[in-house]
Amino acid sequence: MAEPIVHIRDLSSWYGRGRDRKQVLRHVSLDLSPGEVLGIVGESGSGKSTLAKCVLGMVADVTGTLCVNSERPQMVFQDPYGSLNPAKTVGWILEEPLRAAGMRNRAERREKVVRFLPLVGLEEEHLSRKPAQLSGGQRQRVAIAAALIQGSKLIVLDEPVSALDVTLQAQILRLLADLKKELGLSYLFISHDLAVVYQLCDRVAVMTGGEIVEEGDVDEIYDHPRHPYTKKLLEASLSLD
Amino acid sequence: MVFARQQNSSMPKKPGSWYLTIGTVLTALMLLYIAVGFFWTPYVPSAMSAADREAKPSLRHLFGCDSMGRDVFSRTLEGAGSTLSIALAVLAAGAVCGLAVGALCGYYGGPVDALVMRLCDAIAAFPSVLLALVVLAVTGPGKYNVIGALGVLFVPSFARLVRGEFLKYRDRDFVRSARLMGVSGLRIIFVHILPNTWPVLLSGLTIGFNNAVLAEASMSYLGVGVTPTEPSLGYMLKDAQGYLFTLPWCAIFPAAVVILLILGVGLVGEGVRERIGVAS
Amino acid sequence: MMLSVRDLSVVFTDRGAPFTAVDRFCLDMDRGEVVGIVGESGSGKSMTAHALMGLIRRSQVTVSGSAVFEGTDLLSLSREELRQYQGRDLSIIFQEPMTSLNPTMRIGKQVEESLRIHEKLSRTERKARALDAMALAGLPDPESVYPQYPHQLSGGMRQRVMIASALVLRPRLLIADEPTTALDVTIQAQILETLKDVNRKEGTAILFISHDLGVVKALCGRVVVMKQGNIVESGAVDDVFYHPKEDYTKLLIASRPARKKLRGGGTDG
Repeated sequence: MAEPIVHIRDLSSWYGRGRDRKQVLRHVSLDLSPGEVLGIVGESGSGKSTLAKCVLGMVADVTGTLCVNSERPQMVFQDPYGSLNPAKTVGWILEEPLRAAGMRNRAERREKVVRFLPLVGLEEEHLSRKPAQLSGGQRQRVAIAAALIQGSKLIVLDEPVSALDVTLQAQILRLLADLKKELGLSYLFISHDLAVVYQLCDRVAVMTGGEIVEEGDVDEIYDHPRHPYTKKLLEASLSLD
Repeated sequence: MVFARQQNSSMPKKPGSWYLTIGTVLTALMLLYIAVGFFWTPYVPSAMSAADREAKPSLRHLFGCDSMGRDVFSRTLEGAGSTLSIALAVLAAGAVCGLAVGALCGYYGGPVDALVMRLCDAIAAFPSVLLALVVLAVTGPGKYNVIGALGVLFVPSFARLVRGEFLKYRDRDFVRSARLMGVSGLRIIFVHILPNTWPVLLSGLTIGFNNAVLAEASMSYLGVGVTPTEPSLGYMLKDAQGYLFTLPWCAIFPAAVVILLILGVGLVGEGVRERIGVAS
Repeated sequence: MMLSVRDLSVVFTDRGAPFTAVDRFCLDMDRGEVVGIVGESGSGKSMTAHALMGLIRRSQVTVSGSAVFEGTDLLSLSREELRQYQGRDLSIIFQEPMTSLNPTMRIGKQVEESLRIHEKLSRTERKARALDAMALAGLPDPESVYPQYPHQLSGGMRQRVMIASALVLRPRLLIADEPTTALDVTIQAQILETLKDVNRKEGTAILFISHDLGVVKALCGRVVVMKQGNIVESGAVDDVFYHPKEDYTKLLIASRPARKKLRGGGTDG
């Protein structure tokens, strides 16, 4: 088995200070292999977003082991209205990661951006627009492109389709699946929605109260949930069947 | 989605657009007035003429003459110029320092931020005119001292305004995402966040400009502003005080110039702010 | 027929060209019926509900058509007359229980608020009615929740408080505008159970607005599918969801995350 791209052992994390210090992660352990999609499922307050931030190095108060074998892992946020700078054009937003990576030649940057556009289903005409002039789906495509353009192999997806309409959800999920295959990405997929997680993920970890209560192959978890909380979650998710 | 597109396609006409028009016209007229004053005045502003003492407004002296026979029109032309230049200098000093302090404190936070903000509170807690008087009592009156003293006093309000904006933006997802991409802190502050704050900054600047004009006028009025040889709107008002009922034109015209200047810039600020508020 | 909506249109004229948010919407509802309106953002589903409640009466919005509720056309009533109906005969609950509650007012007082407006009751009677409504809305131990403030409650509890205050006057029609969208799935399931209970015990008809087909399926008998202000398809939930006639309905159903795998490469699925 290849060396995991994310290796977490016994990770605990706290929020706040002094008397208000609250533990949000309790001894979490997990591995993500290259090319794998791991779903982290839980409800609000389960600690799933904190776990994602830990992987990205955005949380200070942690103990345990955390190894990330990828340069600059990136994140796709839930709300494409908030994750794109409203004062900038799409072209600028997509060039900025390249600028930050030290690509100084303007024409080179532009060329790379233009080559990247079809991958995420955007057109060159979108480059001169500002985020407010795009639809929700287009905005999320821009956010995905910005996360991928530096060439990061590990992407944390924090509820990337939860703010979108169902028809758009399906398109964006399909896009994420295609990109993963094409670019050889690994995803850490944070979601509250079991059905969405099932579509994209190979394995799933169920979190509640800052702990992973159950983890395994998606089919295994969906067909034979062992932990009562997993069962409760599965029962609560409504399907048309 | 349909709804959102509809909103973008036809920009509604807001009251901001006529604020902007009137404000721009008024400001342009006032700037023209001041520009004329730099190159030409009908009389030498400080020249006294015994024959024209206490002359009423007429074609010879548009705004009349004061008790020493100096032409009020000429004096407002030149006085408005010096008031404007001092106000702009004060504003520039206050805004640049305030912006730097507010942006760094707001973005980085931490104990330095807490300390700096308490310092700003301390400065803001004193009545600003009183504080400026104390500073000027130490340094002595004069143009540059006035700019320095008032400039320092303008820092806290700008710093607070800018800091508030940066606090609002520093935890936005687009800022986080820039951080993840390895964008440097200073670049995030000035390139990523600053353009988003400019509607608020702009209204702060116009209010600040108005305060600066008034502050300069009050300093001169209190006799610690520009040296008495240079005309200033504040000085003219102070001189006119004693003749408010006998020579009302000596007070009315300088006051009107101050009011129109402030009104014009205020309207421009309001108009731009509303227009940008709609767009974003 | 308890509610009969005919040719309800909502047209916005405040920006340039008139924009039709709802176009000739028709709906009949019997007493005690639960009907869902599904659609994506911009479909006009919420606008329809708000128009029925008289919440979008503004100078630059034209609401036309008729909505006959128990013999009275709600759309032809004056603001004052409509107020007699709001809360008492029809009430509405919204998506955000955070912003719908007053943070400085005790829970019990908020639930009682509409009683105070519509009925003359003593304090003890009011409190008894409020506690009844809170129990009906599934708030465990209403007595202890009564003196609390909104920030002391979880999101699910707050939504139950909203339901309680909507039900305190025993309306015959409850309009629910995405009431579970902001909640976790397990809480959503509980709230849906509560709404079913209310419908069964009190015979309250529910007009349920949602973007989520699964939620509508779990709760409603009939469904109306909307797109860009128009009704695409309507009928019994089972008919519409299992034998959709219109392409848009099929697309909506196919877009729902189901137990199928996306493997990338664009070939499967």
